[in-house]
Amino acid sequence: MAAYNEGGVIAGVVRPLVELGYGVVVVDDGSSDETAACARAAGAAVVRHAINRGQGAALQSGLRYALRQGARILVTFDADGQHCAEDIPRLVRPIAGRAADIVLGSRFLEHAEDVPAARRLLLRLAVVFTGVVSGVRLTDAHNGLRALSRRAAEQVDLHLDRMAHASEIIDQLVRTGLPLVEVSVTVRYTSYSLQKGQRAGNAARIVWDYLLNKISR
Amino acid sequence: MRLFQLIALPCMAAMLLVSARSLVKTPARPLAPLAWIALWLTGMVAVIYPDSTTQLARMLGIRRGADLLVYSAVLASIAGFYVMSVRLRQLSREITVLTREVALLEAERKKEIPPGPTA
Repeated sequence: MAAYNEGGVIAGVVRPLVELGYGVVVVDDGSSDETAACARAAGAAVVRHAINRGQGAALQSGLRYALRQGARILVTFDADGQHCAEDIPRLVRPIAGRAADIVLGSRFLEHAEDVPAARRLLLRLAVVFTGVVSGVRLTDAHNGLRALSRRAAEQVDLHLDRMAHASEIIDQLVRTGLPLVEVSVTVRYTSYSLQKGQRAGNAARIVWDYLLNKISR
Repeated sequence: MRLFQLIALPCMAAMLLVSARSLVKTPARPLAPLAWIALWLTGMVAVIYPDSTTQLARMLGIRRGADLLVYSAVLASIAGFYVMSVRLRQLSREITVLTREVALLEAERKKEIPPGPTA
C-alpha cells in the first residue's frame, strides 16, 4: 500500500486489513505528516522513502519488500480508503485455486452506476489507451486493487514513478503471459478519495510519461 | 578583419581549446568533445568566410546562410532537449532506486515484519 500524507485516514484503512489477518506493508512515500506512525500503530509494517518518489515508485518498493518477506500472494490496495477489505478474498481466490496469477479489480463489472460521470469517462479513455498500448481488453485499467501471485509480482519492475505506473504495470503483467482475470470490486467514492485520485488534467501527463518511457528505454 | 570577427574568433578559439583539453583528459569518451570541436571549427570557418554559409545553404536548397543557421540552431535545440530529458529521467530513476534500497534496508534493520499470511 503506497501512502503519501494519508495520516488522517491510513489507520482506518490498515486496521480492518490487519483484523482480517492480512499482513500489511505500507510504503510511506516521504510524507510530511504522521502517516508512518499511524500505519505502524494500526499494525502495518512500514517501509519509508526518505523523499517523495511517487505512487509507482512506492508500489514497487512495497512489492519488493513483501517478496523479500516471503509473500506468496500480493495485493495492492489504495491508501485513501476507496477499496474494501471484504473484496480481497474474491481477488485472492483465483490465485489460490491456481486459476490465475494476475487478478485485476474492476469497478465496471457490476457497480458501475456508483462511478461519477467525469471519472467514468476518464477511466473509459484509460481502458481504450491500455487496450491500444498493451493489447489487452479490460473493463477497468486504472484500479489500484489487484492481486498477484509471487511469480507474477517477481516480474514487475516499474520504471514510471508517478501515476503512469498504472498503465505500465498492466503492460508488464500482460507481457508475462501468465493467466489474467478481472474480478468485480467496489470502489467507494468520497470527497477525500476524489480529491486524492487522478484528474483529467493528469491524463495527458500520464500518456506523455508512458510514451516517453516506451521510446527512451 | 571586421569587429565581429575580432570578438568571435578568440572566443571560439578558447572554446575549441577547452574541448580539445577535455578530449585529451578523457580519451575513453571522445564523442562529446569531438562533436564540440567540430562545432567550433565549423563556426570559425563561417565567421572567417561569411559567404560559405550561404553557399552551403544553396547546396541544401535554402536561400540564405542566415536561414541555414537558424534551422540548424532549432534542430540542435530540439536534439539537446531530448538528450537532456533522457538524462533527467535516468537521474530520476537512479534517485528512486537509491531511495528504495535505503528504505528496504532500513525496514529490514528495524525488523518491520508484516504480521499476517499475505502482504
